[in-house]
Amino acid sequence: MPDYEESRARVNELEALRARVVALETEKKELVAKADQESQARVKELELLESKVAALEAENKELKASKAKADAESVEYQELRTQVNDLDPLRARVAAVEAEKKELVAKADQESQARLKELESLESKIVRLEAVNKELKASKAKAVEQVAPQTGFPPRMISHSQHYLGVSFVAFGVLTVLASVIAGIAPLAGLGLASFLIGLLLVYLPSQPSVAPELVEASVISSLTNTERALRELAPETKALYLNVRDRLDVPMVLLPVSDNPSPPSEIGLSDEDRFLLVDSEDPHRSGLLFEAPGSSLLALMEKESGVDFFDLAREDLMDALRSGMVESLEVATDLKGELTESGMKLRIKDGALAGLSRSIARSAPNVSSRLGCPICSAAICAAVKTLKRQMILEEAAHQSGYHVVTLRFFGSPTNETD
Amino acid sequence: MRLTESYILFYAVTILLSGLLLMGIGVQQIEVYYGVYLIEFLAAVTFVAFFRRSLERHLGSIIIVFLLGFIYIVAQRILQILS
Repeated sequence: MPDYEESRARVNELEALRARVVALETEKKELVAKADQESQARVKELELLESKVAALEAENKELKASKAKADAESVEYQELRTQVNDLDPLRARVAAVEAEKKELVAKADQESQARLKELESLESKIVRLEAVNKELKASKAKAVEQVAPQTGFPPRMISHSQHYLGVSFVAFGVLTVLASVIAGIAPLAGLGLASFLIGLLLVYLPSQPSVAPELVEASVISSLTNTERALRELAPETKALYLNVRDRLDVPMVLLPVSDNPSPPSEIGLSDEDRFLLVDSEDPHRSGLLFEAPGSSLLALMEKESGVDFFDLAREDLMDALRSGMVESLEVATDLKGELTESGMKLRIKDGALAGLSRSIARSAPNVSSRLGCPICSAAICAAVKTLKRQMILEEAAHQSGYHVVTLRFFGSPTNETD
Repeated sequence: MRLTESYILFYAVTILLSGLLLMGIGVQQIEVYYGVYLIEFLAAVTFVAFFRRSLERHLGSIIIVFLLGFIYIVAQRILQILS
């Protein structure tokens, strides 16, 4: 029995061992399962870490690249810095230039202000000149009104010798007629009547100008000297352009342009002939001084005396009419010769009664004389412009001993063809 | 020589020559002399007025005096004929 007991004990012990083994196996399985889970978790964690490492490596590479780039930029920066340092002298020079520029600008401002003041002064002078011009025109018109009806042209002033001669003829004629009546000799009365008529004409008709040339000279020279001053101060050294006359009643005008190539005068507004200064700030070719031609009044008188309206005159009749008007009607010239070509015109006028006046103008107002023309030259030019109906540029107006030589060129014609 | 001087000289020579001519042919009537002088005067005025219109205007008063004299002569002749 003991054996059995022993065996039983051993069986129990075995069963207990088996149960323990089962428990251990179960525990082992659990542990294995747990280890598997942990292992998987670790694997996952490892994979995550690997991916992080990969990302970090990539970032590291990028950082390295950017560092290399930054290094390169740093080198470049250093180079640039060196270059910038080299620019310092240039900067100093630029600063100096800017300072100089500022000084120049300030100086230019000052000059500009001075110019503005000068311009204002000139404008006020122009206003004064225009006022004087108007006054002169008014006084001239008044004088003409007062003088013309009394004297006519030529104004009456008979020299004493002519007067005495006329009275003597009249007295002789009357005495002869009386003697013939008393003596009954009719033919003698005829001679007496002739003597009487001749004496009457000698008394009535003037053979001397009522105004001595010296007096004319003294009267006009101051006005022309003022014009001369205006030309000197205001007008540039350009040639005068005699403008076209569009109507028979128009006053011939002459333009002294600012530039050598003025715009076509048809484009210049000339509606108001009292304008003296034509200013176009956008186009200097349209700017200049506008004068009434110095010979316009003389031309009007010539037309009145000769009865010829130059506006209606044919081109081929111009020279004859001009010669007749200046030599016979006005007697301001003793001879006139002219040459009219396609490009211009040349006139040679021999001095007449107003020779002294021409000389005085050439001496006292050389600009007026040479650039606008003296009244005699200007009258001839105005007549030509009025007949030919074309603008003309006064190339030259020379006043030699006893002669006026006028060279004209049609506006738009090439230069130096008339010479 | 100025135009007016030329005119006076021309007229003086003309009327003196015509007066001598009329004397030479024996004209006795003062009216004939007057008429001839007037015609010559008007012709000379017309000629000179071609160059100078103002001279014509200026001579207008003399022309009127001449014409009044001519009218007087004509009237006298008419009265003579009528009587």
